Amino acid sequence: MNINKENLITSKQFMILIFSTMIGVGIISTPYLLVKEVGHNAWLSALMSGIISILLTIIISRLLNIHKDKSIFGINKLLYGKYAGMALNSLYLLYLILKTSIILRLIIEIIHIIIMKTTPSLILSILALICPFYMAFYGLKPICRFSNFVFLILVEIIFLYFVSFSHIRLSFLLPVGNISLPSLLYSMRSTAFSFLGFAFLWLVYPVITDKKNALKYTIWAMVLSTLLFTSTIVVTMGYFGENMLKHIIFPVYYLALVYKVPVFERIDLIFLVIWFPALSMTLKAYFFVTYYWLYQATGYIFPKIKSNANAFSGNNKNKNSLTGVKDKKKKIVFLILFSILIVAVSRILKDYNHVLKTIEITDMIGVSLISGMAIIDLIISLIKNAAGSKNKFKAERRAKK
Amino acid sequence: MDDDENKLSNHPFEDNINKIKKMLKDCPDIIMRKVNLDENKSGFFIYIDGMVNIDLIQRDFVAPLLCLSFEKMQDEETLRNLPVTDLRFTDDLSILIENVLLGSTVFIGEGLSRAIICGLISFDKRNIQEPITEKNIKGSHEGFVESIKTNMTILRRHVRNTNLKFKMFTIGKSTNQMCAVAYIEGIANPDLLKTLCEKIGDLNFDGFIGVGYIEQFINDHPNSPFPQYQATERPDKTTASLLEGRFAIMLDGTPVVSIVPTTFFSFFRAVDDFNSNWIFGTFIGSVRIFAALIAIFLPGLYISILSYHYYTVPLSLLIPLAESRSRVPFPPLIEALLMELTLELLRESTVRLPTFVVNSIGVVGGIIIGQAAVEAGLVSNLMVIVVAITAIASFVVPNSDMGLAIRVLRFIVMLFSAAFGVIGIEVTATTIMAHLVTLESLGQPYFQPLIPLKPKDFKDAVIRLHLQTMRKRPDVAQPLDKKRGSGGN
Repeated sequence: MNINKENLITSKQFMILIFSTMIGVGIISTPYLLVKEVGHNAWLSALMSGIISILLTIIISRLLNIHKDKSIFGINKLLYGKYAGMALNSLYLLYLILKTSIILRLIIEIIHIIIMKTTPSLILSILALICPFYMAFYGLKPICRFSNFVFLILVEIIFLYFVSFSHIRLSFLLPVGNISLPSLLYSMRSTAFSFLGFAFLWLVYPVITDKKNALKYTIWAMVLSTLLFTSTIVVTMGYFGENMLKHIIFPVYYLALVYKVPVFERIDLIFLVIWFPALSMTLKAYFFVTYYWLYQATGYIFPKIKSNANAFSGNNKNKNSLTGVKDKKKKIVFLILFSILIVAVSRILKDYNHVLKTIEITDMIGVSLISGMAIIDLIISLIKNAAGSKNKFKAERRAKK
Repeated sequence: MDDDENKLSNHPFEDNINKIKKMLKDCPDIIMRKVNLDENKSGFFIYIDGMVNIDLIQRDFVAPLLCLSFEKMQDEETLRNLPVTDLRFTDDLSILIENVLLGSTVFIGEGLSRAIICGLISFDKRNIQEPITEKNIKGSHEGFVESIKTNMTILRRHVRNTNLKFKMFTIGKSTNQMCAVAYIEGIANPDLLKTLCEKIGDLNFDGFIGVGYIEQFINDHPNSPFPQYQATERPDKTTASLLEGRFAIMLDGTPVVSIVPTTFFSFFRAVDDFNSNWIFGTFIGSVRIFAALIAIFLPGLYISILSYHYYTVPLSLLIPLAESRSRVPFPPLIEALLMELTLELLRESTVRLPTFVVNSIGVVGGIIIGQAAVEAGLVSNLMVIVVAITAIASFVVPNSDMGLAIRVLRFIVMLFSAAFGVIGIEVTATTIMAHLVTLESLGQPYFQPLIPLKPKDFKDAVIRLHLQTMRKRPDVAQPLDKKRGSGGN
C-alpha cells in the first residue's frame, strides 16, 4: 500500500485528534444550547449522547473491519454501486463542507462577541484560515501533532474547575432526571455538533497504521470528551444555576471572566489565549478532511488533478507527491479555491443566532446521515458477507463431491 | 578515455611537463623546481610555497631522493624507504595536481613511471582559541579552527575510539573543498547517515564559503526562519552530540561545525548546563525558553494591550501608563517599531565594529536615544522598558541562528498585533507552532520531545535532570545503541 508518509498516523495520535476536535469549539458553545433545551438535566443529555456515540463508534468500527483499508467513501461505492455511491458520497461531502464553514463562522462569531467587536468578519475569516491552510498543505500528521496542544486546555479547565469548586451548589442540579425520555433524546441533537467527531474514524481509517487499536483509542477519546462535557455542564450549572446559565452563551469563558486573581485582576484574556489553539484545532481537523476528500472526489471528475488525489486511499503512484513542484502548485491552487468556498459559504450566515439555528439543521442532517449510513452499511455488509461465505461453502462442498 | 588521457606513462615526459606548466600558468605560488638526475635525465619538484614544511621536505625528501641513482629511483621498494611518513605514488595527472593543491610536494621524473607524492604539509593557521560567540564558564576553552584536519584531530582527542568515523567528500566544483561527516559507528543511525551522505554527495555549487551554505542546500525546509542545523565552534558540544548519535558536518576553511539532526529545544542548551548541578541546568534552560517567548511576544503584547485590550491592565498600572502615553503622539505600533528598529540598528552596528567603538555605541544607544526619546515625547517610559527587556531576553538565547529567527518573528507578531490585537498574536503564535510541529531536521521531528510527546526525553531537553537519570540517549537521532555506557563498541 502506497500512502503518503505525511498522512500516516497512529491510533494514539488519532485519539488526541478527535478528542481535541470535539472539545475545541464544542465546550464553549454546546452547554448553552443544551441548558436552553433541557435545563438542569443538561448533563444527563451530554452523558447519554456520549454513550450513544460510543455505540455508533463500535458500529462504525465493525463496518470498517469488514472493509479493510477503505474509508466510508470507498465503502459506499462498493455497497451501492458507482452512481448511487457517488450520490451518497456527494451528500456527505456537502455536509462536511457545510460543517467546516459553520465551524469557521462559529469561531469568528465567538471572537467577534468576546474580543474583536468591530473587525470585519471577512478579515477574521482569512486570519482564522491561515493556520488550517498551512497545516492542510503539510498533511494529517502535523495536524495530529498540533492537536497535542489540547493538553494545555485540559490544564486550564482543571484550574478553572478547581478555583470555582468552592462556589458550586449541587442543589442547582436537583431534582435529577425530572425529564421525559423523548425530550432528553430530542435534546441530544444539540450535542451532535461536538459528538459527531467520532465520524472522523471512517474518514481517516485508511491512514491509521495500527488499525487493531483504532476502536480502543476512539472509545477512549469519546469517554474522555463525554466526561469533560458532563463535568463542564455540572460545574457551570453548579456555579451559575439554570436561570442564569440560560442567558450566558459561553459559560466556560464566563467562569474565567468572573474569577478575579491578584495582580492580573482578570484572566479572561489569558483564558482565550490558551483556548485559541483548541478553537482552531476543530477547524483544522474539519478543514483538512473536507479538503482532502473533496480533492479526491474532484480527481474523478477532473483527471488532471488526480495524480495526488488518490494518495489518501493508497492508490497514489507518485511517492513524493509533496516534493513534486507540479503537485505542490496544484495543491496550493486547490487549497486556495477550497478556502474561498469555505469562506463564501460561511458568509451566508448573518450572526451568532443564525449560526446556532443552522447548526441545529446541519446536525440533524449529520446525525441522520452518519447514523443511517453506519447502520445500513453495516447491515448490507453483513448480509453480503454472509451470502459470500454461504456461496463459498457451497462451492467447497461441490468441489469435495 | 579520460583516464588514459590523464595517465603519465601514456605520454612522453616533455608532454606531461608542458601540460602541468600550462595548468600552472599564472600560479606564482606553485613552484616547479627542476633538478638534474643521473643519465642526463631531469625531474621536477612541484609544491605550493607556504603550504609545505620546507625544512623537512629538503632534509627528508629532496636530499635522500637526489642521493639515489636513477636505477634505484625506478624501484618503488627502495623509494618506500625514504624517511617520510606520508609517501604515495600516482600515475594520474589529475591526482598529482589535486595533491599539489592540497599542500603535498610532488616529484615527477623523466623515465619514471609514477610520480612521488610527499605529504609534509604545513601552513600558517590560527591557534586553537575559545570561540568568541560561544563562551562558557566551566567547560573547555578549546574551539575549532579553519583547518579541517586540525578539527578532526581535536575531535579524535575527545573521542579516543576507532568508532569515531569520518565520511570524506570533496565539494564545490571550483573550490574542491574537503568536507567531512563525523559520527560514532554503533551509535549513529546508518539510515540517517546514508540520507545525509546522499544529500552532501548531491551538492552542486561552485564553492562553499561557510558551513551555512551546505545547510541551506540540504535543508528539508529551506524557507523556514528556524535553523534546522545547529552550528557550533565548540568541540565539547560536538562530542556531546556525536555521543547522542548525531552527525557533525565539517567543512575545510571554517571553524563552524554543523550538527544534525537537531531539535528546537537544543538551541536553548549550553554545554555548561550539563556541566553543573541539574538544578541550575533546569533553571537556566527554563529561563532561556521563557526569554525566547518574551523576546518574540512582549512588544506585540504591549501593542495589542494598548491598542485594544487596555481593560486587562490592572487599574494601578493603567493610570501611570496612560500618563506616560499621553505625551506620545504616535500609535503604539509606530512607537514600538521606532524603538525596536533603533535597537536592531544598534545591534547590527555593534556586531561589525571594533570593540573600542562598541562602548561609545552603547552610550549613544542606551543613554542618549533611550532617555532623550522619552524626554522628547517620542516614546513612553514603559515602551523603553519593554524594548530593554526584549533586548536582554533575546541576548539570553545562546544560538545566533535562533536569535535571528526570534528577531524576525518579533516584527511579524508586532504587525499582526497592531492589526488584530491579541487575536493577531494568537494567529501568529499558532502558525509558528504549526510550523514548528511540521518542521523536520534530517527527517526527525523538530519540536520533539514536546510534540510528538516523548516524556522520557524531557529530562534532556526542556528540563535537565541528574546525569544518573540520563542513562538512555535521546531519541532525536534514532540512535542504534540507546543505552549510554556501552560506548558504541
